[in-house]
Amino acid sequence: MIQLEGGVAAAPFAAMMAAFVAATVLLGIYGYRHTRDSQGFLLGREKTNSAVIALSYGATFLSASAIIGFGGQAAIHGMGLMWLCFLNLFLGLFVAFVVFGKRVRRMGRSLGASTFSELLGGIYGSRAIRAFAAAIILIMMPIYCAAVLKGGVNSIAVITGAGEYYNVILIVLAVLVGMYVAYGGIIAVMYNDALQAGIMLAGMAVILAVTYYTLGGVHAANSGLSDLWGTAISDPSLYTRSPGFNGWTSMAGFGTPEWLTLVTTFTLGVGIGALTQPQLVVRFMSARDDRTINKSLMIGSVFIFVIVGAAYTIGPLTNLYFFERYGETAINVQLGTDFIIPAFILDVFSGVRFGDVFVSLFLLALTCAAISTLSALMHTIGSAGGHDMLALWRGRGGLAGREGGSVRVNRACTAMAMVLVVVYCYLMPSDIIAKATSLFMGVTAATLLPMFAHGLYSKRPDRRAAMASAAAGAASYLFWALFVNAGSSVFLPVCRWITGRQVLFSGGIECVDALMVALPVSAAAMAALLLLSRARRAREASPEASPDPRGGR
Amino acid sequence: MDILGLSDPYIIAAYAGCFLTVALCVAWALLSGGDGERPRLFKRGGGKR
Repeated sequence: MIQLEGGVAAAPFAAMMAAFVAATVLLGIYGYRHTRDSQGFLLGREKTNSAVIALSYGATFLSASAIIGFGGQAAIHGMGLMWLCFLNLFLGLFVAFVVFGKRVRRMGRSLGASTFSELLGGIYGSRAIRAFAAAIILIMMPIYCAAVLKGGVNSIAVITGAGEYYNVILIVLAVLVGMYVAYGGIIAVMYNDALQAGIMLAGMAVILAVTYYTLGGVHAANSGLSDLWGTAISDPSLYTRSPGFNGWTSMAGFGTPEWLTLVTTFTLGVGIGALTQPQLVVRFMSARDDRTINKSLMIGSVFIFVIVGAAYTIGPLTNLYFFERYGETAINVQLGTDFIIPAFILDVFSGVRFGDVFVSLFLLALTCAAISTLSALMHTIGSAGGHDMLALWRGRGGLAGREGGSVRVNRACTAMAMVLVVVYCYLMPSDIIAKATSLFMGVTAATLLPMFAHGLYSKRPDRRAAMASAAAGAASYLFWALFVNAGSSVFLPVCRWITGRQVLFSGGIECVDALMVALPVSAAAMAALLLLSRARRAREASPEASPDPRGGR
Repeated sequence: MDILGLSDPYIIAAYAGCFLTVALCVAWALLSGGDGERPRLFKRGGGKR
């Protein structure tokens, strides 16, 4: 078993953290001074430049889960996970910016919307849709937020060897993020995101370069990893025994359980889910103009490629490193998948000149990845409560309340979100970070993606079709996640309580992610309702259907 | 086929897809002008005015 040894040296890490906290506080004060009203808290000054939008979007998109959670999964499942990197870039960035981003900005501005829920409610002219979107955020997002916080604190506690201060680290991190989000609003969130993105970029680029240097260069490292499969195949203790796994530099066999897990859960589940993340959509609404969104693509694509590409490349290569050094592979790392990347970082930099500085840089990058996502999620939860729900409550008799709470109410709701997230951290089981990420992205995509796309591109958005799509998506996602998918059913074993079995079916279907079923069901429900509406309108418009004013019919 | 030590076409395609998407994003960012929907090169008339 490969142990996590060494830990980070206190002096360089403390110096880096002190500088980082000082910069965070200063940017929080900057945000506070420029946040004058509720609109400023929610969207800033609507003149955010392209670099800040790109880095903020990227840093919010990629949490610590992307680096250590999915990096660890890449160590187990191999470089096939690079298809997720491709989808992150193509769907999560290019399609999100070019297809959705500019329309979101224009419609948000014309409707006077400040949040994702308000945008959807405004497009459909529906309080129910606004309430539904806000409810999804208020119910599901704290779970995801708690998973991100818990994952970040776990990693920091283990790598620093300060496990006995777990509670202190958790509270300090939550309060630091909660304070600058509550007081600085979206301005502090986005500028801090940009700072944190810069640190993440530097950290991951250095680690990728050191990994290839240590393993003898790009060609030698990749060839060595390919050859390692030839050695490992005779020793099942060295690799995942999932049927269909063909080595770390080969794609899994088509249709096998390994392929289904890799493609449906990791690649498509997370790749598609990124399109309807409320915390990301708000970034478009704060852009100055369309050109700013276009320009953001350049920095954003390089950032996401470096962070995600580095994590998914380093992950598989850790197998070669551990094998050359210990005769074991990453599957044998102590504490599980989430600690493969940290164990590798600690090991590869031990005994190297300035190694402590690089380990500290990695830990800071990890902290930044967790904080940047946390801050955006807390801001979104606070906005859903302090702006959307309050507006709906105040406008009970009217159509769609537009006026949310004051900036003080938004701050209070953000602070309450922080407390709720900390409570969730203590209630949630361990090893849930990747599942919670996948679950949240899956639920939002299954319930909101067809509604969102239809609303943005239809000349006559149909609210009944939107509600039917959301209901069908939510019901089918929950059924599949709880009764069919083996990976998600273990966390809430309703199927076992009712039937005595973990899942209802076997034979490979238990590896298919719920989103693969729920999204088509949601889209089909919307298409069916739209066709019915069109047929009804055609009937009403036809001369035979309309009553003759002269009394003929 | 061996590219930088990788020989599986699906893995090579994944890396190539990433590089091409980054190139597409950079090209889109550089060629897009004003508040237009898309870069001038992709507009009707090949960007001629």
